[in-house]
Amino acid sequence: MGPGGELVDELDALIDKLSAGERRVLLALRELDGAEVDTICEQAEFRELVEVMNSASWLASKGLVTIGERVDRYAVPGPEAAGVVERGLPERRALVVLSRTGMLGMGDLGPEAGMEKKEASIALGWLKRRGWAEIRRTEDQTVLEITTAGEEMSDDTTPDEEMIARLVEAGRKGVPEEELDPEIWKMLKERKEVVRVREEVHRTLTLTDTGKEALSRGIEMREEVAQLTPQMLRSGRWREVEMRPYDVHAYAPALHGGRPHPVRDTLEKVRRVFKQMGFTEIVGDYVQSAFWNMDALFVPQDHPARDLQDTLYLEGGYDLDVDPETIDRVRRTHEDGWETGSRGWGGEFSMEEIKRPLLRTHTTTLTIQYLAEHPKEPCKIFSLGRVFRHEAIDYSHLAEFHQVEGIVMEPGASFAMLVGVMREFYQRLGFDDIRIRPGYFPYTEPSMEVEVLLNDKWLEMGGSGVFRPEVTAPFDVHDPVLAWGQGLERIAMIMYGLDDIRQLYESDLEWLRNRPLR
Amino acid sequence: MGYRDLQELVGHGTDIAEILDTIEQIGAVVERRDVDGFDMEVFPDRPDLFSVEGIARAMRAFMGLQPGLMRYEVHPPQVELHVDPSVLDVRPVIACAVIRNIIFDDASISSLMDFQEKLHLTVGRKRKKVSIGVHDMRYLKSPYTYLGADPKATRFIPLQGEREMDMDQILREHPKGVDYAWILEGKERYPLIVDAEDQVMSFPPIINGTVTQVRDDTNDLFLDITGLDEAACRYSLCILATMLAERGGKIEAVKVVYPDREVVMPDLEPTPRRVKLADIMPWTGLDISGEEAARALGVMGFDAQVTEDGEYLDLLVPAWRMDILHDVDVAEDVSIGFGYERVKGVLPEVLTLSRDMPDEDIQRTTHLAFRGRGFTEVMSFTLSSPEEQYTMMGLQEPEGVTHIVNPVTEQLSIMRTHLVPDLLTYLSRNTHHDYPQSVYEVGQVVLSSKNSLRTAAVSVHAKAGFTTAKSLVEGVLRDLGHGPDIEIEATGSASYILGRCAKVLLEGEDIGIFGEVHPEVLEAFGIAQPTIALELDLERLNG
Repeated sequence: MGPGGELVDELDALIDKLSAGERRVLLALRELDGAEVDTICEQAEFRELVEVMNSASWLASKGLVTIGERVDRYAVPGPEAAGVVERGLPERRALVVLSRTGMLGMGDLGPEAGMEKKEASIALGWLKRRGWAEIRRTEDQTVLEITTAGEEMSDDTTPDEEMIARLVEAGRKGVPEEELDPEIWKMLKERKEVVRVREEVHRTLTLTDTGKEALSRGIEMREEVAQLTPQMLRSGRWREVEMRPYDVHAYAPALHGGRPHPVRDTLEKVRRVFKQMGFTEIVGDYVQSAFWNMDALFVPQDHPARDLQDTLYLEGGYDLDVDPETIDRVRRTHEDGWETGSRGWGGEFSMEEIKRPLLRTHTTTLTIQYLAEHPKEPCKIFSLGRVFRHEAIDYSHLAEFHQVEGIVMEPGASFAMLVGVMREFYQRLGFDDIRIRPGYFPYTEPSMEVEVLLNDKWLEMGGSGVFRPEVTAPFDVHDPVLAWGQGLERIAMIMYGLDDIRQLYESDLEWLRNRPLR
Repeated sequence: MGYRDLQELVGHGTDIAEILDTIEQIGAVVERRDVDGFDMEVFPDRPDLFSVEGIARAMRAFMGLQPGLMRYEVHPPQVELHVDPSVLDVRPVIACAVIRNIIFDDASISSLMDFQEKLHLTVGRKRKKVSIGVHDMRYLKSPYTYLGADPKATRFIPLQGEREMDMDQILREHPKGVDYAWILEGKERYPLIVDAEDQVMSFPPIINGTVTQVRDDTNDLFLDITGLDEAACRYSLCILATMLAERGGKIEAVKVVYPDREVVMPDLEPTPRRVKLADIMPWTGLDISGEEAARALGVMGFDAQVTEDGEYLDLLVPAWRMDILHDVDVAEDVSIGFGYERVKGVLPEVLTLSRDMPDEDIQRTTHLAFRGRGFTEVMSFTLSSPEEQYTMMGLQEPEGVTHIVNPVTEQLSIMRTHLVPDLLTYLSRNTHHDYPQSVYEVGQVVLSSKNSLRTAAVSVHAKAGFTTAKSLVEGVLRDLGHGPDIEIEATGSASYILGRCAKVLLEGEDIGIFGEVHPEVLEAFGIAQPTIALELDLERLNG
């Protein structure tokens, strides 16, 4: 630090850098030096107390202001005070009984004075402390006997009783501690249910000498701006302006983050489960032939699922690229079972029907094509593809939805293995309790339905079964093939608590943008 | 189905709660229950369970009250039916039986009607393959004749009809005729059953004559099953006849006389079947003995015995079980008889390693690229309409669009070839929400019957412009690992504002388009804010 001139310059520099809030507080202190912050807040028309306190603590750190703190203590009535005024202190009530009887068995005090055990023991303590009664041992019992002091006091009131009455009268604000007789107050304070102490903290702001000097040099208020700009920051002009305060409760527009669709989240979850279990995903075209969608799966050619009311057929033909021998095996399997050991469906197999182009009604069409290409390799495959049905859209139906399908093929595969895989799969999806019962699908035997327990109700999830030999043998697949499938949207509806399936696709943008991401 | 009725048919002293519980274990779903009864769904391969009588029979075996094959006596024929060659190219198959001493009540009549309806819908393929006629035979005189009749020359009063009509008239005017005329389309002769005095009993598969109408006091029934499939008709007859026998009716055979042979039916003899335990037991994966498997089949209503060498099961399959096509069907019955809930699951033993799909990585990156730029993912249907895909976008329909022959609605009549129209449709339904609105989709389009993976994004807000679109396209492509290999070239499209639209070239090949959406298009979709859009071919970007 150099000579006085430099000090003056430093203070000027300090004043120059004061923020708008700091300036307002300093200016207010010109009139209100030493006042409480509440008063300053009110008189200088600050919005909130924290505005004053924030600026005050900056001013204090700059040595312009000191923040003082004073604690005022008040004696206030406790929760039982009013009751005491009405009925008297426990020892007072005991004294009334004693002054009538002179002496009491120790155990009789409570019942005689109408007090609970705890209250009676408080009364006993104070009777002794005040010297109103003595405990004496006679031949057969311990008794309580009134003293002379007790007798004298039986018609009088004590100073602490008077003090309680005074506090009750003063109410919640109480009586400043310093106005009370210190000794009696000290004794009374022990009765925590009868009296309490209330503290009031008062902060005051007092100008330091530097603060007074700064004020005398003159402090100007500055303009108010709404937005801090890069220019202000570069030029330092932000020091000359005051930022307009915001109402923190004012509306702020929503900020939407990019996010996945709920069906995507569901797909990812199911995909994760399949991969954990060693399954590889297969995909394929939506446009398929009746051959791969139906005939190859031993769905009889007159099956109702093949009606125009169930399946979406396409204009034009389908260039079916399958070797004639395979088609012939399928034809004979339908007609008389071929070499599969089956009776077949009977009737005549139409070679025209198999070429009808359609939108796949299940992803099993991909499965059978995969198996036809890889008849001998044990595999675990899955698909999560869209399928199409001739269905009017309503709360529980869609014309286009995702099918979850899983396949296991290996030499020892069996129905029991399918049961094991089902339990594992659904448990990994978060359903701990599953049960199975018989089901029916034209291309599996045995077949079963899987149900999961959700909120104490059994909910049908998917169908599953072992591919019939009529399905696999024509493609030279001879190991048992376990298959299951279900609608993905059903899982999504459970995950997101929806009761209308349309919500997933005709979804409200606000719902998509605001749903929690977990 | 009524609880009381079912309980009486199963046997006195059975508990209804136990019965309902058991029904689900044999493969039917109890769908609705109330105080008096319940509805249930039975699988279509078990028409023998379509009736309360059939359920009761299965239940008695399954609950151990009467395991094994149920046998019914068939009394010798007193009635003959002659099959005239004229019907053989119209509706060639007929199966029939007589039921005597039946006493109908409300429960049994409604059960019979329900059964008929269910069978017609499923096995009967809406009466085309199989249809059932039930007749009071008190006014009939044997022999009856099944013939192909001249539609114009044959007149009678049909059931629920008021006057005599010829057969063509019935097809045109009678409600049942209108419903089922399609089955006889193009036939010169129509099927007809008459008695010895030419009284019309039935015009299958349409309607019966009034003379054989079943009443409360009907005692003796003649059953006719006609159709196209011999086995289906034979099974249907067995199911129907034994169902009525469960009600106390006495089954009596009918002698059916063809030009070249005579057949006495119904044939309720069970079909013997020998299955190899080593074939069916590994299929089930159940660790049980042959005897236990035989017991399980017993509770499913078969007679089953292990052969002396212990290698086979000898079965008698009931005449009404039409679902046993293959040994695996026996394997299923073993599993059901054993109890699905008792099956201990095992896990696969062969190790397989999971692999990603070829486009899994690019899909994941695309999602990250758009989400990182604040875009909300939308998923829409692949099914679309020419109106949305082309008309509203100002485009002509290209070659190779997949059209549906039988769409449910015009809105879902083609497979989309672009994603952007779906995003615009989506936003047109959400114009009441805050802007900016930025959405994207990763999904399939179908071109010339082949799937193709695309991504598209649309952003709507007051300041959306070509530069915004270009920043977005270049940013997303950069995230996908493309930059120097990409060229942007001005192009024109009716969907975009002229001079504010560009195509994206990857090594000279066209892989996408972006720009400011044309106000004409925005008007068509009802979007009243500037909009930018882009669509990229992910398949080609994936190489």
